[in-house]
Amino acid sequence: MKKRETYFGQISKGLRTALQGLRLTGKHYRRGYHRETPLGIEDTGYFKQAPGPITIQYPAVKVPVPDTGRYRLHMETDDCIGCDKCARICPVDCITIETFRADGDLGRTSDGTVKRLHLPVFDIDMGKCMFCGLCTTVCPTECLTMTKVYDFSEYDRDNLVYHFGAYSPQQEQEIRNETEAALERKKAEKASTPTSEAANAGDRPRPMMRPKPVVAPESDLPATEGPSPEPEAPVTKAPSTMRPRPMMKRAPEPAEEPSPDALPAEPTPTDPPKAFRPKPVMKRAPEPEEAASSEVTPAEPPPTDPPKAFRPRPLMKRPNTESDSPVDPP
Amino acid sequence: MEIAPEILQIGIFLGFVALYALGAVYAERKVSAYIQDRLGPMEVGPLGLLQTIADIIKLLVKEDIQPAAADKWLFRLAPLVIFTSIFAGYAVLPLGPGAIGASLNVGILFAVAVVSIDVIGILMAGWGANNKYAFLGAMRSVSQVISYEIPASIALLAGIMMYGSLNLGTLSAQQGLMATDPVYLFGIWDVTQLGGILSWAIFRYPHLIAAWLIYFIATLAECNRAPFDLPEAESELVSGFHVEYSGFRFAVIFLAEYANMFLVGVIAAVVFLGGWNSPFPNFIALEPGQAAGMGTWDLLRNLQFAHLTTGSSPITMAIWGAFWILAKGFATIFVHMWIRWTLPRVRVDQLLRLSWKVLTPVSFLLLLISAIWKLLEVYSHP
Repeated sequence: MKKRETYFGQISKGLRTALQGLRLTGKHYRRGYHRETPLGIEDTGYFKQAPGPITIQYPAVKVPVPDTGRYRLHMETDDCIGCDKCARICPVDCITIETFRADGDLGRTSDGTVKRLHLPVFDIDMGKCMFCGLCTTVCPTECLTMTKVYDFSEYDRDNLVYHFGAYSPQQEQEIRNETEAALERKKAEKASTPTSEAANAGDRPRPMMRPKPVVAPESDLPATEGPSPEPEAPVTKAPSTMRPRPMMKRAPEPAEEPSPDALPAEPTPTDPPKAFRPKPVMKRAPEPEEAASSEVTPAEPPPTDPPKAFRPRPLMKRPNTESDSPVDPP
Repeated sequence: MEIAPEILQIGIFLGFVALYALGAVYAERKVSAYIQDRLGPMEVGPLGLLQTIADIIKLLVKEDIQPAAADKWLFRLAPLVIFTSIFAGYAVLPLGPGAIGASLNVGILFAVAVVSIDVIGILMAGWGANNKYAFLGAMRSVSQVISYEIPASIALLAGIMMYGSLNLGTLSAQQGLMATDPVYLFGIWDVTQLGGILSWAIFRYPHLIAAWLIYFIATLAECNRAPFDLPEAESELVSGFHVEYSGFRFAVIFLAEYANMFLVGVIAAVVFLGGWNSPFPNFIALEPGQAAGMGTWDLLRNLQFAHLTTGSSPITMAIWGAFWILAKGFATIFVHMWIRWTLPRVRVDQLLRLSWKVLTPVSFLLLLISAIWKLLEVYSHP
């Protein structure tokens, strides 16, 4: 039970506590001259600033953001293979991708994956984005990244939609027409000249889904850049001697792979680009629809091995179905 | 054309009050910001100095809105009554030796009385606005101001009793080098020639420290300042009695509020803190009149700090006097602000309890002590 306060006890308590409060606020007032200098979190003095007003006059002064800041998305269009993974994993559907098949290869991404799809539309609606970063983790070529830009407000909501597509609408139409024409021509050609074994086994090695190496994703990129400009790149080479890309390192794949050497060699980042000898055009007798739907992601580790080279594995489906049945033994 | 000196005086005081209010609003925002570890206004002008100018311009060009159900006459007149009553109190404020608007022999009585009319204005505003929040605020204000008038007046009385004058100019003069009566510290030590802080009322008569404290607390309540800001209580009453006011009328009410703070600050300074006298005493007591002919260097050599900071010619005396009294007034206002951003608002019952059960009895006790002291002093120094 609390002791009942006397009249004078109350008065003195009132004065005492009021003075205590004044002392506290007076202490804060005296620090008013202090100005907070914006330090980044990695700064060693971050927690050692003198106490005082902590206001930072924002637009004029900004707190440094670490380079690893995960804010606005950025897409390196040249590195995108149009696999659509990011669009599908996005919880808020803020990524819109449209692709169409290319006539042959479109070159390689910086990590050596061959691009086989034109990418007319790649829109990210940053107004919807919730910055979960899932798209960046699924991106096989690491073309989708989060940047440290956090202040990108706009007066118009439409300006929050970022267009990373490769072409303008006119360009797109042109390319579409050209590609279709080329494909038609080749189809006709192929129909006239029956192909041998190559065509049989030639399930088209298709867009290279290339899961990121789990171990050292950071070191992967620079390493791949070295070997990629190697001489084998030319797409036009060797229509007959197709050397499938050793792209996939999925668990099921090794099982199918007869050669045991495939497994260990895979993860090393420097290997795949070499292995890569993409097959430019498929002359598959069956309908284009089927050709399109079957994708091969052969896992062939030793690049310099011609006989083995040709081991296409139709593992991957076309983008719209691939995630459903990633492993689809032929 | 000849301008009557009274008009000139009014103009000076009005200009001063307006300018001071601008500065005080800025100061209030900065003080609150620093106490809360913020920066306060920083955008308009260097360090945000032009913020209140911008605010007042905005306020003056705003539409003057009057609620349809308001009592038109009361609503329109109320800001006028509030401001006029406060501003009338400035007539008797001494801003230096001889610099006093009206040297009334009932000066302090006049000031206390005329400032009380402010309550009527507040009641008019609250009633006239025909708004329940405004009305509640006005009711609270009336009960509060009337309760706190008593301890404030009695505490003042305890102070002025020691000097035997109600004239604020005389009160000031008696607490420094210009005192006509001998000045005894604690009733024993003659410090007439020392001046400075030693001749201030609260040092000569230490029981007046309590009186000053009581007056300070009571005037906080009279100015409707936190922790006694129940009439405005933003969280309960939106903004109390002036909730319906906008534009110029609101500006006038606001001006009156800040003017009242300065007024009570100066009255406290005059009665308890030595008026326009310097706080620095002379360290060597010279013969009366000896210091008058000295130059600055001689004054300094003889440690005559009171004389140095009081001035010798009428001009310098006026400047020093104005400086000291303004400094004391502003210091009081700073403490008002400091308290506002420190203490939470009291409840109505706590407010009235503090007034009736603590401040009023203590102030009567102090009045009694003053009377006895004065009696003893009269007998011991005839």
